[in-house]
Amino acid sequence: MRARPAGQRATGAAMLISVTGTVMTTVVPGIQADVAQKVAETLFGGIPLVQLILQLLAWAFLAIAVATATSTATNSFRIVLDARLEEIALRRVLGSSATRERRRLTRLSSRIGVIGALLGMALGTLILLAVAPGVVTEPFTVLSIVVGATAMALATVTAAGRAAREVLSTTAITGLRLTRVDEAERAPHARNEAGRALFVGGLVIVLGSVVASLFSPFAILVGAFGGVAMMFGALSVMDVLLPAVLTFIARRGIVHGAAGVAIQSLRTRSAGAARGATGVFTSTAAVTTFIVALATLTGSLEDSYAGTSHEDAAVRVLHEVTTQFGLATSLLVVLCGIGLYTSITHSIRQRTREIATIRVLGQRPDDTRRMLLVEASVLTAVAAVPGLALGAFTGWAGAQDVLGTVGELGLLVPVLPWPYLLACAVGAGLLVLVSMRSAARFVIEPPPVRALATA
Amino acid sequence: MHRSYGTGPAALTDVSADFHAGRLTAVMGPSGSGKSTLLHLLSGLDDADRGEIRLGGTAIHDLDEDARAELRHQRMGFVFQGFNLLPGLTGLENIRLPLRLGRCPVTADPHWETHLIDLLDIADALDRSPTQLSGGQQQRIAIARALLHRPDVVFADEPTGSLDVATGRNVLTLFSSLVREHGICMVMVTHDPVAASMCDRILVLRDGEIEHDLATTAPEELARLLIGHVTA
Repeated sequence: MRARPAGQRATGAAMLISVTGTVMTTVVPGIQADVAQKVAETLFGGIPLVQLILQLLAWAFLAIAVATATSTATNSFRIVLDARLEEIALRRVLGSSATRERRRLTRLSSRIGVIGALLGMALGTLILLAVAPGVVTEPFTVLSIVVGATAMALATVTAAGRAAREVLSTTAITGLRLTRVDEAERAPHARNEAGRALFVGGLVIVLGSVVASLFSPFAILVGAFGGVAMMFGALSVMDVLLPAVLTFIARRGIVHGAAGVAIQSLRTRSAGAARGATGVFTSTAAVTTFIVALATLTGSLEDSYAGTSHEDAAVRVLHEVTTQFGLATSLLVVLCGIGLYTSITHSIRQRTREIATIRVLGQRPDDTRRMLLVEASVLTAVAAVPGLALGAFTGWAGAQDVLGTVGELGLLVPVLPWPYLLACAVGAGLLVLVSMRSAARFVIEPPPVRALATA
Repeated sequence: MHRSYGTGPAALTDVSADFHAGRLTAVMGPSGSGKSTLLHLLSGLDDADRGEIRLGGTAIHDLDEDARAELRHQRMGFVFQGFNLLPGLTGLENIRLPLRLGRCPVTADPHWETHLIDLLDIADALDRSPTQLSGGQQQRIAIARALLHRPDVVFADEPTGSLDVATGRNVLTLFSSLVREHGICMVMVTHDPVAASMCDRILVLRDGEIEHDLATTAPEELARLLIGHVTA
């Protein structure tokens, strides 16, 4: 088995995420526009409030799609650029300046961003032509496709710029581990503080939008803004949460043997591990948001129109909404799945030397697999549980923001479709398992001395 | 043992050697002479194309990967040229790492651990990450890791290559006393004639074969033998 260089793998993963993210930003607003067109053809189309809500929803969904895609791209780019840390440090030791390396990374990320956006836009348009051909030439759809693709391209370049700043902020000899490092200097305190402020601020805005939804249909715009802030703030939540949970497990002595080594290893390199957890957290939160929002919207409207003369029309509309947003959620799952796979495989491959050392010292291959499985499982559990909780909250808040001013609905009862959520959790678990096993092959199958020589 | 890689010349050509408890053996030779290959075969980290490797009554060449891992865990210690400490663990956690790896638990003797820490002068390095330690401190942590579980055999690849002269000499003196007092068998790859001169036995490899099998030899004589390789 011949492994590709880490740099090539990183570039391929970043391109894949850029393409998938742009597909999503292209398709989701198009689907929303299609749903709006179909609703307009029913008797609900004549109600001005419904039309206003549909227009607001279109923008809100565009914002959510762009935020989810760009935050996934940002996190994934940070992870994949880590794979080039030593290569960049070596180039600097050999005479390349930090400015030159930054420019090189910017050129690379610009290429990835632009090509990924163009490919994603083309693929997304083809999907739209297949599922909703009537909306492709609509002004809103064209505008949202351009806005989404531009945002994705900019997000890739920005993420690369931020990651490059982090990589280039350390000296070249530190990057090559040729000198001692003061760990305290490397702790991203400022980023944590800003991220937490963004997350808490977003939470307050979403809560405010829930209250505002009882009086104004425009609450969804405020809520979407708060949701986007939370999504980006969440990028640093795991920097705080993961070390706390790992320290708790380690101090209580809950696990031993290979699992104990896994927990200890995760705990002491929690900054890198938190990036993987962030991918799981945002993915789970985003997918759960869509699922809970859809279930709460349809559940509340079904209850509201049950037994009325509009019941049949309402059921048709809701069926349309469910089908279309099911497709949007599937796209989101694909995007999140790629992000998750990238996070886990890169975090394991970066540790080839560490794992080879442990094997030389006497760990059996099965125990190494178990150790990696424990790591991946802990990361998933620590990230997925709060992700599910946050997604359930933002999904309910989104549905509330949309329907708060409709009829006498008032405060909605959140609907949690457990089979879907369970399937989502099981799917995430399976994906983690597949990613772990796939990456483990590359670090376990070669003899440890060969892994040590090539790592 | 015979080992070749690809179509090039053999890395080791029908080499036969035995290593005894309570003896410190140096393996010397120019780059590409087969020193590392010999170490990897002896420790079961690589497979010979033909031949047998035995540790006491255990035929390593017949063991599967799991059994070899357990053998390394229970009876072998390793000191790498590049230290290979786990960056996520502190110095003390790195020292104790082998105790946590196998299925049959190996218990640490606290007196032995304290003795090693004092002997290697690493008390200040125990709570720190390897990235915060000097090369010499990292190597001494790696040596403590190799010895903590009282292995029967220790394989060391250039163990003093990263140390200053004084620390290197202290480490070699420590190796000598450990080998004699505790009956450890130690096999050490080195390019340093002074380090090799402190060993009980010196194997000089050339082109995958044992060219000289010497008892304790003066560094000048070893240097002359090695320079002879270059000028020959």
